[in-house]
This record gives sequence, structure tokens and C-alpha cells, in this order.
Amino acid sequence: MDISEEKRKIGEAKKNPQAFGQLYDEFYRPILKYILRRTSDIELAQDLTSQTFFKALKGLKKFRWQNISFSAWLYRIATNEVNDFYRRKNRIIQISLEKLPEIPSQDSADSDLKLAEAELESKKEFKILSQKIRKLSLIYQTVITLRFFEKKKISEISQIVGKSEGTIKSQLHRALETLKKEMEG
Amino acid sequence: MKTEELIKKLENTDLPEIEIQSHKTSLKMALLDSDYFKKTGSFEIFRRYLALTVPALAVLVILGVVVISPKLTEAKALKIARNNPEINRLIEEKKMVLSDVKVKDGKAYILLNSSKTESTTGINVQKNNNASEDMEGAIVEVDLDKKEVSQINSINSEEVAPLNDKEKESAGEIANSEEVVGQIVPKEATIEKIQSSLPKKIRLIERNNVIEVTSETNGEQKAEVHYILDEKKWVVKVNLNERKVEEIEYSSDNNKGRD
Repeated sequence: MDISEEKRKIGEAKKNPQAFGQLYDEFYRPILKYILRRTSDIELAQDLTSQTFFKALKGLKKFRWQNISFSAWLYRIATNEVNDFYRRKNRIIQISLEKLPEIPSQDSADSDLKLAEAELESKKEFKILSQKIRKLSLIYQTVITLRFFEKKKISEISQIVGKSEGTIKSQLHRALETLKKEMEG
Repeated sequence: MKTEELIKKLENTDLPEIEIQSHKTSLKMALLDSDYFKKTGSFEIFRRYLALTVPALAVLVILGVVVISPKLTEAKALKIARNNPEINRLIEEKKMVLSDVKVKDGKAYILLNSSKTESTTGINVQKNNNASEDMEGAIVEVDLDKKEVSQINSINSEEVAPLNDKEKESAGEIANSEEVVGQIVPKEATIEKIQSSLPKKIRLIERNNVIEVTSETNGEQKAEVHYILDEKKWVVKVNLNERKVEEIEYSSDNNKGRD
């Protein structure tokens, strides 16, 4: 999406629920996948995705183009949610305050969850790698996931994390060195 | 292990690709139902309504006084209509607008229809604050002598864009086979009725000395499939040309008991 198109969409989404709904449809899947790849936990990924979008909605009015795209802004919120969760080291999270309405067809929700669990279970190599990555510091976890799993460019990671490209490059280098030791250990 | 090997391993790892449709739908409903849009909703609609219609009304009045007297009559009729509390309620609650006006025999007929825009992608799931009132449009009759609204008649979509039994049956099939409908509408719910949907672009015309509503969208066929379970209602809007579900409206009462 180019900048002018993105600006138009965000402007509409600030006042029109339908436009926000379209934006949500576009970004729900990438954000859920990113959080799942950070956490390897489907229920936690759902909770943190919910919080990410509630925070995005609350902050939408203040969102301005200041060298950061909307996509990077959303990834930044998601990154903060994941990192905050690990910092708190407990799972009492704010979702209890922003309760989702239950889908009337509970069977469908259960079967969606089972399918997602099966998909995650089938990715054995990812699960092993993910366990090792989660032993690293939060910033290393962030840059590795964004660079190698989300295939983000250094410039995009720099926008998401809010640090210079040079800093990201050196953090990525150190993160790989640390992960290498974890893999060997 | 060399760093290059580790990078290759990271780049080539088979990653989980998930889509949790039930979570996506419930989160979307919660977001659209949140205070953010409630706070902005009525005030923003009122503000936009004022911003758009007051200048338009002023222009109408100026043109009427200076150039054409019938336009003055139309402006007066619009003003009378806007001062009516029921019309104000429809404008605020149902997001309706006064979109066309015709004057005939001392009476003005004003078209009141939905201002909602259509979603271009995906299925739009939204709450209807008053599901029992499924009015999509109305003709407001203004008595110009008495300077009051004399009638508000709901527009019958079946008269403007009728559907035959086969088309209604097809609408029911499309709605029933849509996965998102299955996730939102309980299996126990039954179809209460299937009717045509009022086209988005309509206007008033005079035909055989009578003011009527006509559609401006050629060949577009849309239907509404109304589901019911106890006192809860869902309206699934189907585009018959594209054979897809475009919108699902649910009553706000549906959330009672879940909080």
C-alpha cells in the first residue's frame, strides 16, 4: 500500500467503523502470525493480538505519519505487548477488561483452535528454534523474529523498534552470536 | 555451527501459518462495538450532518429567494422535516439522510434513505441498535400550508426492486453456505423471511400524477435474509449478482447475558 493510499485509509478508519473494519481485516493475520511466532502459544497469541488492536484503536486518533508507516506502528504495538507480557512474567493480562463477545457457534471456535494447535504442533523445527530464541533478551528475540520469520528489512525493523539502522544491524549480529551459542549449548 | 548456517536455518524454517476465523470475527465485533466508535458515533454524525446539510440548506434558500421560487418551497419543506423529532431520530440512530425532494399540490415529498457506504472487501459485521425496526428508507410527506410533517411512510423494498421466489431461494442458499454466517448465526436460528434489499441509490419521480421511488442502480439485485432465534435477530445481506454475503447485522440485544 503506498503512503497516500494508506493515509486515506487511516483517515477514514479514524471516523468510520467500516473503514476501520477493512484495515483490521488487512492486518489481523500478519499481526497474529507475528505474535504467535514470538510466543509459540496460540491462546496467548490471540490475547495479545486482541490487546494490540484495542490499543491501536485507542491510539488511532493520535497516529500521524512521522517517518513510520501504519504497518510498522502496528508491529510496534504488538512488539511492546509481547515484551511487556514477558517482563511481567505472568498471564494476568488486560483482556479481562476488554472481553470479547462469544461467538454463538462455540463448536466453530473450538475447531478453529484445534486446527491452529495442530498446525503449530506440526512445525517441530520451528518449535525447537523458538524455544532457543525465547532464552535470548527481548530485543534479540524481537530483531531475530522480525528479520528471519517476518522477513522485514533492516529499515522496517528500525521503524518498528524505534532505533537507527546501524543499531539494528549490530543488535542482529549480537543476537545471532548469542543464539548460535544457545544452539550449541 | 557457523553463523551462515544458522541464518540459513532461520530463513528456511517452516513456519506456522494460522488463521483463527472465530477469534478474528469476535475481536472485530468487539472493536466495532467499543466505546471509541460509540463516543464518536452520535456526535460525529450530528457534527457531519450539520457541516454537510446546513450549508446545503443555506445554498438552497439563497437560490430559492434569488432565482427560483420552487426551490424555496423545497428548502422550507426540508427545514420542516428536519425539525421533526422522529426524522431527527432516524437521521441519528439509523444514519439516514434527506436525499431528494419533490413538491406537488401543496405537499412536499422528501426521500429519507440510508447514508451507509458499502464495504468493498470482506463481510461487514455490524450491530444494529434497533433490530426490530428494519426500515431502510421512508418518504416524508410535508403539509406546506400547515408547516408540519403529515406522514412518514416506510418504503417497501419489494415495490422498488422486487425479487422472484427463485431469487429469494438463491439468497437463502448463499447465506446458509457462508462460513462467517455459520460462525455468527446459531445453528438453531431459522429463516424468518427473505426480502429484497432497498437499493443504495434511489430517487423520487412523478409517474401518473403520483410521487414514487425509483432505483438508480440498473440490474443490481440484493436480498436480505432475516434469521430469528427467540427474540434475537440477524439480517444477512446478500449480493445476488456476485453471489456473496456483504453484511451481517445483529441486534445489540444479542450480547445481553454475556458480560
